[in-house]
Amino acid sequence: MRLFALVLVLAGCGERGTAVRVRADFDTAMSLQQLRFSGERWFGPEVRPGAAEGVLQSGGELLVWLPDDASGDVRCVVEGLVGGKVVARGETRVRLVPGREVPAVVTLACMAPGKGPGRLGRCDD
Amino acid sequence: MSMTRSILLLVSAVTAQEQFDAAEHAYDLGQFDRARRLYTEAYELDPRPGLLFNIGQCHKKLGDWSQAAFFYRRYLARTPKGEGVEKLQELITEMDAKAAALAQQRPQPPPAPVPAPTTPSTVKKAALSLEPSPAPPRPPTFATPTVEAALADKPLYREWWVWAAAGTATTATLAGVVAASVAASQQRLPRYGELDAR
Repeated sequence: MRLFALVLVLAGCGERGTAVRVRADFDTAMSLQQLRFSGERWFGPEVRPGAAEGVLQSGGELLVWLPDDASGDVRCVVEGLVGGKVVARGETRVRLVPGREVPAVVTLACMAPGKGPGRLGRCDD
Repeated sequence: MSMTRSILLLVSAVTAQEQFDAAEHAYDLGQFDRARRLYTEAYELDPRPGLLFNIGQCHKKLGDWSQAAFFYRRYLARTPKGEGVEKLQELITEMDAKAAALAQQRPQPPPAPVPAPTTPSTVKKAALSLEPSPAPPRPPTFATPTVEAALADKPLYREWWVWAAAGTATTATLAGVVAASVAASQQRLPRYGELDAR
């Protein structure tokens, strides 16, 4: 039984390649409705959810599958949207490892005029 | 190839951790034979020396003094520079002494049959004369499988703070489980799915 499970795990891993798991952290007071993920030439821009359905919660993740031979550094950018307009932004740089999933935690901050970089809180204050 | 090997090692480590957790659980419940088996399986998957000590602890709890001494020795052999070596040596000496004492208490094998004919009544008397084998001693339970706990002068179960801590931990665990369940039902982290950029 254990051997069978191991075979299943190995079979599953064989189909998987290089990936980056992008997590978006932000102050829920920002009232973000959508997130736009991008990773230089590797992926995006990709807006999730596709349609605004309400205020998002922090900590959401997008798993991005990349080509098996993807390597090097990638700058992951996440933008927070309210009403289709970018109000917050964050980015981080991660090093891809071929055949592995690497985490990329992005902390978003307000982009509104007068707000200093890294300032958290509702963006239309 | 290296990836497959890494995955195998990772799977083994995860499975060993599961076996270890199950063994700890069994040990906490006083199921020492089951704990010994699970520790053994964990060691087969991930041979960490500490598991040898835990297996020895289980044998000690089961009254298998000689086996306990064996695994304590194996633990020492794998961690020659570890802390508590001298005290562990004392523990091994204690196990050897108990094993020797137990061997002396065991009934001697019956004498060779006498060639003279015996009647059924004499056979019955001979059988009744044999003393029943003593049950293996059962040391107190409720000790954690650590070197410090095993070497403590006073049994842990006689310490009031152990019971207080156990009660507090149990209450806290239950409260945490309930709180986590409520939180999970009320708030779930958003998932934005997967994006195939291959």
